[in-house]
Amino acid sequence: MTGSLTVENIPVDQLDLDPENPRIRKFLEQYGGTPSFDHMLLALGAHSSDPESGSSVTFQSLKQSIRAQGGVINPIHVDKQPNGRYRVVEGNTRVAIFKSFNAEKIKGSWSSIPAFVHEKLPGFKADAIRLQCHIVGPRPWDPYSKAKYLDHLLNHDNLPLSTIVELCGGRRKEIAEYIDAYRDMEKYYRPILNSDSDFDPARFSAFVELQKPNVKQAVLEEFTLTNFAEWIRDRNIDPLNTVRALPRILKNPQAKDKFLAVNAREAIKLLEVPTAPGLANVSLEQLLRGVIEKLDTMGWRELDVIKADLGSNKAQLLVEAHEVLTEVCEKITEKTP
Amino acid sequence: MPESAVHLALVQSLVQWVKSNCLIEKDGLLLVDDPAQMASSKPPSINGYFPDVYLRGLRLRSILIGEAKSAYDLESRHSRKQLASFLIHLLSVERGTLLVAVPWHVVPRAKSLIRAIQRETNSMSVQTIFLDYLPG
Repeated sequence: MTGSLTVENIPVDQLDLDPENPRIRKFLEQYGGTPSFDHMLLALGAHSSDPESGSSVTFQSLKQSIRAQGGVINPIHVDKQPNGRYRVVEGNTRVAIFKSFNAEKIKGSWSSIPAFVHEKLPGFKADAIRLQCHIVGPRPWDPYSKAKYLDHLLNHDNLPLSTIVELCGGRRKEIAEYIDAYRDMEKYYRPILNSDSDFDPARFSAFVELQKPNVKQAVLEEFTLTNFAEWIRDRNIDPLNTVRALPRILKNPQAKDKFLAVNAREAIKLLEVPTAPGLANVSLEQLLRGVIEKLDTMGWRELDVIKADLGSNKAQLLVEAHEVLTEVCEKITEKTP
Repeated sequence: MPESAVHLALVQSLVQWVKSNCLIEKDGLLLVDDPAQMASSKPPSINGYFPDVYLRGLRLRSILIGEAKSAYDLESRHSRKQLASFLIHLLSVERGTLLVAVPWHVVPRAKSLIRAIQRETNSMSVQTIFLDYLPG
C-alpha cells in the first residue's frame, strides 16, 4: 500500500470530507440530506467538551494544538477521485479544522495540508487505514512517561509553560499538575527506595492526586512529603484511589492511627456509616435491587456533589462496590477452559 | 499478546526456572496448573486458590509455590487474597518460597504489593523470588 505513496500539499478547497467517516455517517443517518460544512463540524465534535475539563483529545484541544504548531505533524490520507478532487479517508477532523481556520481568517498557512495521496483506493484498504488509525491507534505513553517528557520540556529545554500548554491543545491545569507530580515523585519517592529497580511508575497517579490543594494541605498540616512518599512505598495508601480520602482520614484520630498502622482502606472503614440494623437478614437479591433502584434514581445534583469530592465516603464506597461487582461479574461470565 | 497467552508464557517461565534451579528429580514433586494435565497432577487447593506451580520437597520440609500474574490481574482483590493465602500456607513449612512471574514492567509493583501482604499476614519470613526480564 505504501509503495507508490507520495506526500503532497493538497489545497483544502479540493478536499471533500468523507461521508463514510463513522462520525459523519452517524450524523447523516440521523438527519439525512447533504450536510453543510457547519453540520460536518458539528458531526466531528467541534462544539463538544471544554478542553480544560477532560483529559481526552477533543476537537477543541486538537484545534489549539494545530494552531500552536502551525500545522499538522502526521499527513492525512486522501484518495484522488476521477473528477480531480480528493476524498479524505483519514484526517477529516484535521481538514475541518484547517477549513475553519480559513473561514475564521486565523493567521497562518491553512490553505493546504500535507497528505498521503492514494489513487483508486480499494474499499478494504481505506478500511484498513481507518482501523489502524482509530481502532488500533498509536500507543499512548503511560502517565509517568508523559509527565517526565513535559518536565523535560519545561525544566531542561526551558520551553515556557504557556507554549507547552498551547502545543498540547490547552488543559493547563492538567499539565501543571503532571509536571508538579513528576517533580514531587522524583524528589520524595525515588530517594527513599532501596534501588532504582524498586521504582514503580504506576504509583505516579497518587502524586497527581497529591497536587489537589486539599490533599497536599492535609498532609503538610502534620507530616511531610517524604512521609507521603513512604506511605506510597509501604502501601499505606492502597489502593491508590484512597489518596483522595486522606484529608478525612488524617482529620479523624482513630482513622489516622489505623491508616499509619495498616492502610487507607482499613482506615476508611472507621469513617463509614455503620450498617443499618436488619440488613444482615436481607437477601443478596433484595440488597442488589435496592442498590440498583437507589443508583437509578440518583439525580445529577447528587452525582455532581460526589464528583466534587472523590474522597467522600459515598464516592469511595461506590468505587469499591464497582471493583467488587466487576470482579464477581467477570467470574460468573468467565468461560470454563 | 492476549491475556491468556501472557499468563501461559509466564507459567512456562516459572516451570523453566524451577527445573533449572531445584532438584526435582531427587527430592521433589512438581505440579503444574496446565490445562493438558490430569486433575490428579494439578497443584492442590490452598484455601480455595490453586497456584500455577507447586513444588513439594520430599526429604526437606520445603514447599515452593509459583504464581504468574499479568499486569492487568496483579492488583485485583482476587490476586491479593490468593497471594495472602499462599504466603500464610508457606509459613507453615520449614522452607517456604513464593516464586513470582510478572511482566518486567510491573516487577517493582509486584514486589511492593507482596511486601505489603507479607506485612499484613506476618509472613515476612517466607522467601520471595521475582523472575525478571519477562515479557507481557
